[in-house]
Amino acid sequence: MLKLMKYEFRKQAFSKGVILALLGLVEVLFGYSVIFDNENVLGTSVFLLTMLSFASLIFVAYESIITFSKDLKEKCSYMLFLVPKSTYSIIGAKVLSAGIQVIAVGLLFLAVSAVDFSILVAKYSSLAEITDKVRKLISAVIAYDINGSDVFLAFFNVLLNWISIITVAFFSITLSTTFLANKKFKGVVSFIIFVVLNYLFGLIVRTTIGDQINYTQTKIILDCLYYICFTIITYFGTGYMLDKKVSV
Amino acid sequence: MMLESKNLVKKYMTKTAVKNISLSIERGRIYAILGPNGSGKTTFMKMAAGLVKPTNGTITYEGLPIGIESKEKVAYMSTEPFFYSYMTIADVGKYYQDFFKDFDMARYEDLIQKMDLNMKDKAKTLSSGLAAKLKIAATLARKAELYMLDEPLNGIDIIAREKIINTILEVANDNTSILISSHLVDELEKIIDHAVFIKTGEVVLVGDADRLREEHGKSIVDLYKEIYA
Repeated sequence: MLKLMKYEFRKQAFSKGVILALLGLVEVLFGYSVIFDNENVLGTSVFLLTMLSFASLIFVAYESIITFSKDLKEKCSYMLFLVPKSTYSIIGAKVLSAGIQVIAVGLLFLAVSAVDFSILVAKYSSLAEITDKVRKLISAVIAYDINGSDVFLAFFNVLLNWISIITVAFFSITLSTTFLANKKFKGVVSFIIFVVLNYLFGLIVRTTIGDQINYTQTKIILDCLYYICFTIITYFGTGYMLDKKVSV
Repeated sequence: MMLESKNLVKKYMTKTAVKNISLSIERGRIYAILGPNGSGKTTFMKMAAGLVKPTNGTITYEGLPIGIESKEKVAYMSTEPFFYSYMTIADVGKYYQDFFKDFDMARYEDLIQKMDLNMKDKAKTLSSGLAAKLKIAATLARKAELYMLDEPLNGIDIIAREKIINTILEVANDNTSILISSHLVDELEKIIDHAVFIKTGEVVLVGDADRLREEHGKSIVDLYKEIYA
């Protein structure tokens, strides 16, 4: 599976280079604003960093889904499906490499943001007070005292949610390529399946563990367990369809 | 029996690409699967390679359904270029080496040189003729038991065709079989042991090449013209 993952990373390497280059540019802007005390440029760089973080995370997931779709619909699919590996290994490699890329990009932006924030706190002491007040305000609003483990859990929760969305997309695309292969509008149908499945999974989570505004660690853990279940179900469903029905 | 299909059917929407094909491929022989475009040759080969799932019937390799085991022993070359767009010719070799135990990198390098290709060239920038040579080099650098070559002479100029055919013959021995699909029958006439004529998804004539010539008093080329004219 490691070799399959190596080629998944290779297929998507170019976009990671672009993300790194853009991040470098934003950081140059940030460095300039700190050194020359330019608040306008500082605001712009923080805004760009925030936008780039979200856009990169969304793009990484999107690219994993698009790569999977291409691997089923284009002639390069022969490269993948001629290798003597099980369909479960092929899907596993795709899910793991997608997860690792989301984690890597997420951690990269988290680390860069943390470093930038520390620099700002060191330079502008009033920022530390504001941060403390914001933290207290959030705690008061959600009636919960935030600590390090909460942040970690929340990050883990978002990651699992992201991975489950990717596997649901894999499942929907595979469905359109296999069981719905002879049907018209299979792409539209697969998108509808994707939306419906995500809605149903969300509904299951909301109805069983309740409203997510009043967060507790138990609720986040339950949430994570649900995402793991959804990922497993859609992973095995995709592997089964590829094994029994796929024609590329 | 290496490869065996029984009542194999593949349907696409309203079209049936393969209709009840029953074939047995024996070890140590060279087979020509003949027929015009759209006759079902490619679909049959893709089912044997595990890329297309049959609608009905069975296809087995050494008695087992097509799967991981057969993919380790069968080298399939499709008629279309299929390498990832980012790959150089060297990358293609590394990919095959990573996934196929029977891949011989030294032979690949030798074939690449013989075919006047450059390891640093990108697969997607190659002309159709050079891309066809690359596919052949990658496929024949495997020490497979069964080679399935779908239209290996497509896009290859007349001069290079002989070189390709000689390269194909180099991998032929008592333990390997070669299936070549083509509509360029003249080129295959002199090298094949067995001929399978497919018309609109059905096998219309099959047999030992010498026996077919003897029974019908015609060459394989003339039989082809008679069947498909």
